[in-house]
Formats: sequence, C-alpha cells, structure tokens
Amino acid sequence: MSAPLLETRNLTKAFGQKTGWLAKPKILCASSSIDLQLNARERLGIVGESGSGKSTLGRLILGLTPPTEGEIFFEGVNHKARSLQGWKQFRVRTSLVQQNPLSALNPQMTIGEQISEGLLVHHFASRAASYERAAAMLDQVGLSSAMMSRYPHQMSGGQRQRVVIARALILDPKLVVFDEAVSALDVSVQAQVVALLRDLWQQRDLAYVFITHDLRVVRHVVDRIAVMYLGRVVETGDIKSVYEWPRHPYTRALLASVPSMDPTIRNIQPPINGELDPGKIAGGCPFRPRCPFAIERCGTEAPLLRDVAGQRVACHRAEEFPRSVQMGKEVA
Amino acid sequence: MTGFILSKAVRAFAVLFSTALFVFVVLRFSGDPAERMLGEFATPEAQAAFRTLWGLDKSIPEQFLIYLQHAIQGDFGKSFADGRDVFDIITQSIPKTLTVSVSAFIIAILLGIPAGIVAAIRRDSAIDRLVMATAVLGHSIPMFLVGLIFIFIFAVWLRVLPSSGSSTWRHAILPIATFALYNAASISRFARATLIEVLEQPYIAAARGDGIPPSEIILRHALPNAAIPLVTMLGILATSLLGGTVLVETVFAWTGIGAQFVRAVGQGDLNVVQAMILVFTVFVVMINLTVEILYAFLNPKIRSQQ
Repeated sequence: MSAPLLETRNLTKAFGQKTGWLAKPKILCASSSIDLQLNARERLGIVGESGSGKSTLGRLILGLTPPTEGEIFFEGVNHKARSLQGWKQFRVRTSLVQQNPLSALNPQMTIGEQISEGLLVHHFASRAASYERAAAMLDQVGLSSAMMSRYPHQMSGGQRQRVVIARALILDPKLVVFDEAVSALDVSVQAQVVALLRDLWQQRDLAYVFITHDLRVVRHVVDRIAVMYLGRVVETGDIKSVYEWPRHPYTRALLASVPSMDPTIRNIQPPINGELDPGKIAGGCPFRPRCPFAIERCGTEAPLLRDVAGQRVACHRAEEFPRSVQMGKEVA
Repeated sequence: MTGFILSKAVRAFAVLFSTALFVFVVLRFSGDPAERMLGEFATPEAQAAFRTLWGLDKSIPEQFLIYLQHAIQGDFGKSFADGRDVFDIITQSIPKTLTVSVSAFIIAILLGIPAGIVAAIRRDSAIDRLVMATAVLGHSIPMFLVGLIFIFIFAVWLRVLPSSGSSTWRHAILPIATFALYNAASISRFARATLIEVLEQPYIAAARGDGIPPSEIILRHALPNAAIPLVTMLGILATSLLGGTVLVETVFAWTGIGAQFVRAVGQGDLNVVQAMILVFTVFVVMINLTVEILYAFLNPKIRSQQ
C-alpha cells in the first residue's frame, strides 16, 4: 500500500494560558497526541463540541500554526523538513475553506481577483488566462462568470461560500480542509453546498478533512469520522458503522443529542451534563467527569485508542454498550 | 454627485452659522471685554467709551446682525487690542502655523505608519516593543514638556538650534520635531492595532493557506483593508493641524494662529477670537469633507455604486 496522503503522528498543540502577572501559565492542550491517516480521495470528518480542538487540528495540518510536539506528513514529506520551496508546493496542493465566507473573502478585491490570485502569484498562468480559468471555476461551483467583477458584499451567503470553494480549488489541490464550512449557512443553502462538495469530489482527485460540530451534515459528506474530546480523538471509524453503533459514551451522547424526525424513537442514552473543562483533567480518562458510565479504573488509567469491532475507541468499557441510540433505530 | 456636494454645502453652512452664533453669544456672556482690555482700574467713562466704540452697548441680537452683515462682506472687524484688521492677523498667522503643523504631520505619517506596520508584522518582537515603548512615551509626555526637553538638548546643551522665535527655517525645526513626535506616536500605535486586527481576519489565513507571499499579503490584502480606519484616524488628527499647535507655538514663541488665539482669548479680543473660531470650523469641515471623499475611493461598498 502506498503512503497515505496525510499522516499525523503524536500531534500535540499546547497553549499557555496566562492566569496573572508572573503566574505560571496554565497549559491547555488543544490537540493531544493525535495520530491520523488520510488517503488520497478519502473524506474524513472531524467532529466535537466547541473547544474540542478540531479547528486547531485543521490549522496544524495546514501548517498555519506550528505544533508543540509531533509530526505531520503530507505526501510523505514531514512539515519540519520543508524548505521554503517545499512549503510553497504544499500550499498549492492544500486549501482551506473557513466558516464565515464574508470574512474569508477580502472585501477590497473583486471575486475574479481573489479566485485568480493563486494562479497569478504561483505563475501558473498569465493574467488573462488566470481570469479565464477563474471564470470556468466559478461555473463549476454553480455561479455565473458575471460574478467575476462583483465584490463580496454584493453576494448572498451561499454565493460567497461557493466563491470560497472556487478559490480553494483553483490550484487543483489534493487536500481541502473545511473548517465549519457550512455551519454559518441556512439549512437550504447548506444542502446545496453539501451537494456541490460531493459533485466536486467525484470530478476531482481530492481528499477532504471536514471539521464540524454538525453531526447531521457530516454524514452526507465524509467516509470516515474522528470524534474529538478535549484535544483527543476518542473514537474513529467508518462513518456508517460509527453512526450505527457508536462505542464511546461521548460519541453516543453526541449522536443521541441530534433530534430525530421519528417520534417513536426515544433517547435512551443518559444525557451528559456540564461543559468542557480542560483544567480538570489530571490522569485518567478526560471524559470521566461527565461520563455516566465511569468506573474506578477510568480515574486511574487513561484509555488509549484500541480496535473495537473495526472502529478505534478510547474507552475501557467500549464493548459493553449496546447497538442503539436513536440513530441505530433501536428502542429500549 | 451634485446632490452630494449640495447636501454637504448646506450642512457646512449650517455648521458655520450655528458655530458663529454660539461663539458670539457665549463670548458676550463670559466677562466684560472693556474691563479686560482697559484693566480693572479704568474709569467708568473710559469703559463706556470703549463699549460705544466697538458697539458692545447694543443688544446682543443687534450686535450679531451687524456682525453677520459685515462678515458676509469679508469684514471681520478689527482687533480691540491694536486696531489691526482681523483678516490680516489671521492671513498672516495661518501660513506660520501650517508650516509647522503640516510638515510635522507629513513627517509623522512617514514615520508612524511604517513603524506601526513593522510593529504589527513583527508582533511581540523586540522591534515591536521598542516602537511601542517609544510611542507610549511620545504620546504620554505632554507636548510642552517635550518641547522644553528639545530646547534643553538642542539649544542649551548642544547649542545647534535656536530656542525660540520664528524668523528663519532653523527656528521651525524644534517645533516641527515636537509636533511630529506626538502625532507619529498616535499614528504608529493606531496603525499597529488596525493592522493586527486585519491580519487576524480569516481572509488573511486563506491567503496564507493559498501560499500568497507575505509581502503580497501585507500590500494587497492587509493594507487596503486597514486604510479605511487609518484614514478616519488621520482625519481626526488633521483637524488639529490649525488649532492643535497652541502649546508648541507658545513654548517656542512661534507667532502662529495658535499663539495669537491664546493671546486674544486672554485679552478678551472678541473680534479676533470669533473670527479664528470660524476659521478653525471651516478647516474642520474641509478636512471632514476630504475624508468622506477618500472613503468613496477606499470603500468598495461606495466605490462599486458609482
């Protein structure tokens, strides 16, 4: 098997939080020992509540922020070993789509200028040719080329996100990181953009990292999912099997919190209370303070990711949970 | 465009008229100019004669109408103190003031904006701290104290520049430096803060992610977006180019409009004070109009409508 497109090894990012003058900064781990692999043309979803470190992971992968520890390999090359030229190549082969398309677009530049800029600065095309390609790209994301001379404020939210996607794809990248890419859009527009992402993936040699808190959307976009809690991956696996039989109490709670359209389906999972508190974890399982199933062992020994029926789960009691919660359509 | 100019003109006229009225009335309620001009020991007859001479014995509405009538014809009266035409006093002192303030402002922009940009790009570095420490000092030490320090260093100690007066270009150097330092400090701090805010915008992250070179990111993405708040701030600073040099002019005995204004207020020289405030008002209105026209060029929301 060939090397994966993207691989992270023991990836850790810690932020120092100043608590006071001269006080020793509190260390917060936004990402903690993350090992991920992504093959070419694979679509990986990263889910978790806000503060779980999923956006930081996206920025780490793209080299927009340096890791505290660990390594990132893209096409077999370590980020740390990249020369300036190597970074340039990496930037061409990867792209970022962010949450709010209005702030992700430069208000001072026309749509055409922004989409074609990448081609121009990397000398892939002349000005005229890059404008032509930008217009063609606009057409591919479902916008008219008449939009080329518009400014971002003259478009709707959905149109803007299409422009951001066009800009992300103009250099023909191999990997696109979507950071809450549809979360700011209306539900009807969300569906259109999700459909667009599927079409584009089918037409191109593309891999996705799709970061979101929205469990309903992610199912329609990705093949595989990684659930994050306090900077750690607690469960990962094929999207279908994770949704059918979530093995980690946190994943189960997340899925159970998605309202069901079917009134006969009742939530059998006890809800989790409280909020993420990164300050509290000292040894043991980070989810323990909020976990309804915590046992003594959870307080002393941090669970590692291990294989459980084809999924990888970080929970001591992973085998004990029934296939259920509402998404599995089993009623207690 | 004609509608734009017309509405601005009407507004400017309203501002001018209300300022003139307000200043005129307030000045006449804030102490007796006859007493201030002649001294408290002047005889009542002399004071009465002074009031009749300058028309101060008439009712305030009457005085105002007479004033307006003359002002419209370009006659702002004469100084109570020396009988010189107010118009002459003003036209002679404005160039003096603008020499100092405009050159100081240009120097401040040329120093402050690059310093702010460098500090923002190299945020939290040694150079950022150096720039910001200098800026905080330049901003927080009162201008007259900076002036005195400069006089001490360059006139008393090194003896390379004159300490006061306004006869040669060498006299202008210290006042310009003092005023420039103060403005450069404000500008660099603001430029840094604005640019840092822009650099944190998602479209900057997107540009970095697309491999746009850092120089290009600053020039094409960050600076055009920082320009609007920066122009607003420079506009506010520019409104003080005529009246804001009072302290500097006083310290260096520079006979600009600021120093003249302080003298006129102190002596109760109403005609001079009234006219100068009107000049300051016209100046501020003009600066604001310039800023609004610049907006139209800088803001695509306005630009694309034309």
